[in-house]
Amino acid sequence: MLKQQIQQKQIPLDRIIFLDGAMGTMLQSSGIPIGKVPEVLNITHPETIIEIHRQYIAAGSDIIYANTFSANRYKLSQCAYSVQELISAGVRNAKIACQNTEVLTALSIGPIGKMLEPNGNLKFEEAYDIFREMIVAGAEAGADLVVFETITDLLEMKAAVLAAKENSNLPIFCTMTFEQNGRTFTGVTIPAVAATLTGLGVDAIGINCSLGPAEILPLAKEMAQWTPLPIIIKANAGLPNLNSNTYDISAESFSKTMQKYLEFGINIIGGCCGTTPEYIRAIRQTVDNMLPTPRTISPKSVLCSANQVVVVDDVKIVGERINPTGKKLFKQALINHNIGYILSQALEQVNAGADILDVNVGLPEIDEQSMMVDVIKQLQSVVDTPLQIDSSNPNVIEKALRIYNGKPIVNSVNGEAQVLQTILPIVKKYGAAVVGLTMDETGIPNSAQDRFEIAQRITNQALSYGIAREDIYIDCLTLTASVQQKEVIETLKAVEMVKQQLGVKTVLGVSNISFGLPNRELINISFLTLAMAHGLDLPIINPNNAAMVNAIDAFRVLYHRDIGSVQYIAKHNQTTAPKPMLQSSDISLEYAVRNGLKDNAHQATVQLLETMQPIEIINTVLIPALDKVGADFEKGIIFLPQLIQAATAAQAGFDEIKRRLTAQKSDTNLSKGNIIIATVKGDVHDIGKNIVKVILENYGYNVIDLGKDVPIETVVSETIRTGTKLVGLSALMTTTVVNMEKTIHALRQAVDCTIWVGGAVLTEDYAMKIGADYYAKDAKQSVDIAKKVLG
Amino acid sequence: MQQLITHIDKSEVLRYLGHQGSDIPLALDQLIDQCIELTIQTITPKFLYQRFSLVPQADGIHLEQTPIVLTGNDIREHLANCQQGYLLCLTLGLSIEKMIRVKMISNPDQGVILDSCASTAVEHLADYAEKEIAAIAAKEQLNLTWRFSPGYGDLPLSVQKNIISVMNTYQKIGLTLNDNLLLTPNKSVTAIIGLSNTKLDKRTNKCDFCNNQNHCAFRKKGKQC
Repeated sequence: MLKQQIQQKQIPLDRIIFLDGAMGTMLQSSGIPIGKVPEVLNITHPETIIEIHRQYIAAGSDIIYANTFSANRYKLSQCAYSVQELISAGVRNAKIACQNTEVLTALSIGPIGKMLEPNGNLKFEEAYDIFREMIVAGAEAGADLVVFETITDLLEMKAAVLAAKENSNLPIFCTMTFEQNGRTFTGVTIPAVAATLTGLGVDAIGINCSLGPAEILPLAKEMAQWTPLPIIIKANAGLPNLNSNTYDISAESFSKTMQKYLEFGINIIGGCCGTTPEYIRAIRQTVDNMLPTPRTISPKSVLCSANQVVVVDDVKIVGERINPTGKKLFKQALINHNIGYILSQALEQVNAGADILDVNVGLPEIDEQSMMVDVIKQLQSVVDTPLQIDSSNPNVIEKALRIYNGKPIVNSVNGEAQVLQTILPIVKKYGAAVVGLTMDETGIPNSAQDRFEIAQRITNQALSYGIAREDIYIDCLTLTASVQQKEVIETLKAVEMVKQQLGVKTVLGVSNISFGLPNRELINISFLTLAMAHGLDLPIINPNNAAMVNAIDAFRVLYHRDIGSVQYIAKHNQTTAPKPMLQSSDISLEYAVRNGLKDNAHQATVQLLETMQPIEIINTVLIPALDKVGADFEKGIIFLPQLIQAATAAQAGFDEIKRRLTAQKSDTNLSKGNIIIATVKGDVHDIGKNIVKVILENYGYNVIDLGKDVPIETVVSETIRTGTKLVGLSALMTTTVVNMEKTIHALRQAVDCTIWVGGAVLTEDYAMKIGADYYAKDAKQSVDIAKKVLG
Repeated sequence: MQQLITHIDKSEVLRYLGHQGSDIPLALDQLIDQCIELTIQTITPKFLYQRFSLVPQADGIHLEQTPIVLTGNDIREHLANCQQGYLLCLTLGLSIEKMIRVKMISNPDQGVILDSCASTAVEHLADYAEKEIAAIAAKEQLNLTWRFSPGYGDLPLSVQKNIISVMNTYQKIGLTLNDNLLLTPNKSVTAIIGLSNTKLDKRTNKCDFCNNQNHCAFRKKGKQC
C-alpha cells in the first residue's frame, strides 16, 4: 500500500514513514577496511552492505537508502569503478535486502563535493550532468525513488531536481543540511528552500545531518510553516564532536525527541550520522501507534533568492532600473558587456529599499539569452533580493529560470492564447510566479471590465497549468494621463476588481502615468498612492526616488499596515536636513580628488562645467590630480585605501561629465580607449585586478573586465571582438602563472596587442620571460603603462 | 554572531593594506575600525583538526590509514623529529566573501579594507585553533612545529585534495576545493602541525620555506607577511 503510494508520488501525510539510519557509522563498526570511496564496498563486500540494509529493515524501516551517496563522477575520478557500476551495485544490494518485503529502495545522492558558481567554479550545467549520470544509473538499476541529501547549496539542489525530473520518473525527496542558526553553509534559509523546492514540484522536503533531533526541531517547525509537502527529518545521534567523530545521545533519548516532530505533522523520519538500527527500532517502538497531527498551512505569495524571502502580504517595491529602455548609459553598458555597471545599479536600488529587482536586458544589438543568464548569475552573486525576469522571449525566460537560485517572478505573459500556452508551462515547471498583462491580440482594452476579463482568462489558464493562485500577479497597465486621461481611472478600477474578485496579486509600472506632463513626480506619487488604495501590491518604480518610497511608507501608516507606525517612526524620525556640505567654492575638484571626497568632487565638477569644457576638466584637473595621488602612493605618503578613495572621487567627477555629455547628445568620445583585464584561468584571486580596474576607469579608459578564472579562449575572442589594443592579466599563484603564460601565447598567435601583467608572485624578469610586454607592480604602474600604450 | 574571533589586530590589517607609517586621516581610521567590526560580524569561522601518525617512506611522509602522502624535502625536514602530527582545516565561511564582492562594487575602499581584515582574521583563527592543539600537546609534553601549508616550499598544492577528503571538510565546515586546487571559501587554511618530543627545527622562520623569499616586498623592508 505505502509502496504503491510512494511509487505513484502520492506521499501520505497521515501516517508515519520510517527511513533508515546511518550507513557510514555501520560500515565503520563492521570492521571492514573502508577506502577512499565507501561505495566500492558495494562490489567488494556486497554481503556486508546487504546485511546492514537487512538490519534496518528488521528494525522497521519503510524506505532504505542505497549506499550510493558519493558515487559521483568527481569523487570517483581516481577510482577503478565507474559511476554506473557502483550505483548499480548499490541499488542491487538494497533491492536484494528488500526482497519479499514492502520496503522501498531509495537512490541516495549527496553533494558533489565542489561548490557551484559563484562560490566556487563548478558550472550549473556540469553539476546537472553529474547528477544526471547518477540518476540514470539508479533508475536503470530499479531504485523506487531518489533522495538528494546533505546538500547545502540550493542551486546545487535545483540542478539535482531538474536532472531527476528530466531523466527519470522517480519520486523525489530532498533534504538539506542546516546549521543551528537555520542557515546552510552557503547561507540558504529554510523558507527559501521550502518555497523553491515546493515550486519545483518535488515530492517531500526536509532536513538531515549536522545536528541532533533537539537542535533540528525548531528548524523543522519553521519549515512546516512554508510548505504543504510532507517533511522528512533525519537527524544525527546528537551533536557531533568535529574532532573526535563521536555523537552524544542514546537511541532512547533520540526516539523521545523524534516523537515531538509528530505533534506538528512531520511524518517521514529516520536517522543520520551516528544512528544505528537500534535507533530506528527505538523510534518505531516509541511512535508506532501514533499519528502525525494534521497540518494546516495558509497559502502565501512568496518570492525568494536562496538567502532572502519576500512575502507579498503588503506593498513591496520592484526596482525598475535594470532596463535599457530610454537609458543611454545602460544600453552602452550592455553592448560593452559592462556587468559591473549593472551590478552597481542593482546595489543602489537595494540600498534605496527595493524588495524585488526587475531585470530586463533586451536590446537588438546583443544576444538577450546569454546576457540574461550572465546578468542573473552575477546579480545573484552580490544581491539577495529576489529577481523579476523581464522578457517576452520564452527561450530567454526558460534559460533564466533554469539557473536562477530561488523562486523568481516572470514578467510577463498577456491574454494572447499563444503566449499563455508557451510561457505558462515553463513558469510551472520551474516553480516561478508570473505577471499577466491585461492586454491581448486586440491591444489594451479601455474599460476596467474588459481588462478584468483578460485578467480572469490569464488567471484561469495559469490555474489550469497548476500554477497556484498566490503565484499569479496581474498588471492592469498604466496608461499615460496626458494622452488617455479618462482611462487612468479604469486602470485603478481594474486593479480593485482583479484584487477582490480574482484573489490574485497586482503589479503596476507607475511612472508611465506622468509622461508628457510637467512636475512628473507629483503625478507619479499621487497615482502611486491611489493605486495602493485600490489594492496595488507591487509598484514597479525607481526606488532611488525617495519621494516615491516615502509615499509607500506613509500609505502603510494610513492603511494600518505599519502597526503603531513603528517602521515609519524609525525611518522618518531620523530625517534631518541634508548634512551641510562644504560650499563647493570652498573645495576645489583637485582637493576633493586628492582627499577622496566623493560628494565634493561631484559638486566641484558641476560647478566647473559651467565654465570649462568637459575634456578640459578631464585633462587639466582630474588626470593631474590623480597623477599626484599616484605619485604620493608610490612614495608611501598615502596607502591603498586612499588611492582607491581618490579614484572613486574622480569617478564621481567623470560620471557627472558623462551624464552631461549624454544629455547633450554629444558625440564627444571621452574614452581614452579600451583595455581588457582578466584574472587568468585557474585563479580566483581578483582583488588586485579589481583595484587596477577602479583606477584605470578613473583615468578615462573603457575597461572591459572579463572577471576571474577566465578561459584562455575568452581572453582571445574578447580582445578580437572589441578590437582592444591593451590587455592586462593578473595571477596570484605560482600554479596559475602557467596559465598566464599560455594566455599570452594564445594572444600572440591570434591578435596584435600589448600585454601587461601583474600579481604577487611575478617579477619584472619573470614577466618578460613568459612573454609579456610590461610588468606592473601595482595599479599606479598599470596606469603608466596604459598612458604609454594608449595615450 | 560568532564568538571565536572578537578582535582583529589593526596593525596587521594596515600591514596587508601596504601602510608604511604615513598619517592616516581620521575618517579613514574610523572606516578601518568599522570594517574590522563588520568583519567580526560577518565571518562564520569554523575549524577542525585531527591527529595522525606520520610514517616516513621513500616517496614522502604518509599519514597512517589515509591516502595522504606529504612529498618534498621541505616537509620532510619540517617533520623530521615528529612521529605524529595534526591536520588543521579552517575557514571564515562564504558570507565575508560575498560582502567583499559587494563592497568592491559599491564602496571599493571598504572592499580592500575588508579583504585585509579577513586575511588578518583567518590568521587569528589559525592561531586560535593552534592554541587548542598546543594545549593537548602540552599535556603529553610534546612540542608543536609551526603550521606548514600545502604550497609552502616544495609541498605541492595537489595534496589538498586528499586532505579535504580525509577531513570531510565539505560536510563539516563547508570547505572545499575548486578545480585548480584552491580552497573555497578563499579565506581558509589547511595546514599540518608536527608533534615532537625533541627540540624542533632550527629554522623557525616561515620565510625559510617561502618560494617568494627573494623578491618579497615585506622582506625588502625587513618585515614579514
